[in-house]
Amino acid sequence: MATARALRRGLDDGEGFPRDVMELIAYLGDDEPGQKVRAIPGRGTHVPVWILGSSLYGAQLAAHLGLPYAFASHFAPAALEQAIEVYRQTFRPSEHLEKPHFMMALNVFAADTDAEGQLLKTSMQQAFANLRTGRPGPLPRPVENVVETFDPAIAAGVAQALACTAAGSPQTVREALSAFLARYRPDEIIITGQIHDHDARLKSFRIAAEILAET
Amino acid sequence: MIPFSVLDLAPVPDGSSVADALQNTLDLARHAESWGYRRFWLAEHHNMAGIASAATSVLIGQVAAATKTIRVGAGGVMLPNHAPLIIAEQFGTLATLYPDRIDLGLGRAPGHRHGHGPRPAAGARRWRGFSA
Repeated sequence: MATARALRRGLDDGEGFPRDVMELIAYLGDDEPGQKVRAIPGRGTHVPVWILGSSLYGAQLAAHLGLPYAFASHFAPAALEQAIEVYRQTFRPSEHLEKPHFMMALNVFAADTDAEGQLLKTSMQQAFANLRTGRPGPLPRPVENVVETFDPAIAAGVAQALACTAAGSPQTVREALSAFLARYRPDEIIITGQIHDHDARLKSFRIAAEILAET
Repeated sequence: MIPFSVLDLAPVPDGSSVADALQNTLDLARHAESWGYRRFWLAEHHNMAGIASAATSVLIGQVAAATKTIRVGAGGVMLPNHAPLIIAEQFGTLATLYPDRIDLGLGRAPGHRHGHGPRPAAGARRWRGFSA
């Protein structure tokens, strides 16, 4: 609540979202006759606007406005399948987009071996557990088998949140990514990797790119 | 080939500084461009010790300046935190400086952990990353 107050957010936040999205898109478009307020710079730039979401709400809004849609399946995959269906079935073509365009988000922790990839993933697992137990902080160092130390309910919550994850050797990550692509048929994917060591993080993204360039 | 992109939260590793995290983001973006990633998106989060991408549009400008061809964008801006005109001006500025390289993803989540937005559907909790 303190952060919301610091951001000057009201208690009704979210309700005006569709109206605000349309207002913003209008500022980025060409001037309308009689338009009193203009974005300078901004007008006429037609910056591509995407709707991001983790619930059916975003899917419905993106479909209604005919906008590309990205789903936060990297941390909140529960509604993924339903959201894709709603988005694709209720999509209305617009001046921005003729047909649905869906992006899926995935965690990737790629390394030389399965054990190394799984170890990299433990930073993210700890970060989620810390958040859920009210102790957020910097991204933890990897700890082997750390999930075994979690409260079972927390461990289950973390596993559910990170269900859309490919972790392990290049071969394991390749198989996992292929399965996700085959199952959800996204138009694009976006990869995140909360990895403690920067060089290991770079390597993970390099391996992911090599795999995806072959798909 | 399916287009693939990076979603970065500019993570602050335990034992490192926010300055390190921001440099890591610029370094990852340069590499991502060379590895064929299509977009490099940054997410808006506030009051999180592990995430350095709070000033999302500022960081997007830095990433765009540090790279040449990769698309750079917000994944996303939490629109209820801002006046739409301000975001239009910020991303209009970015798109004018870096034509055809800027994307604007919009979410309605609080972007902080003590949010009080509408309840998400299907039990999905919105406490991290992009959500609407």
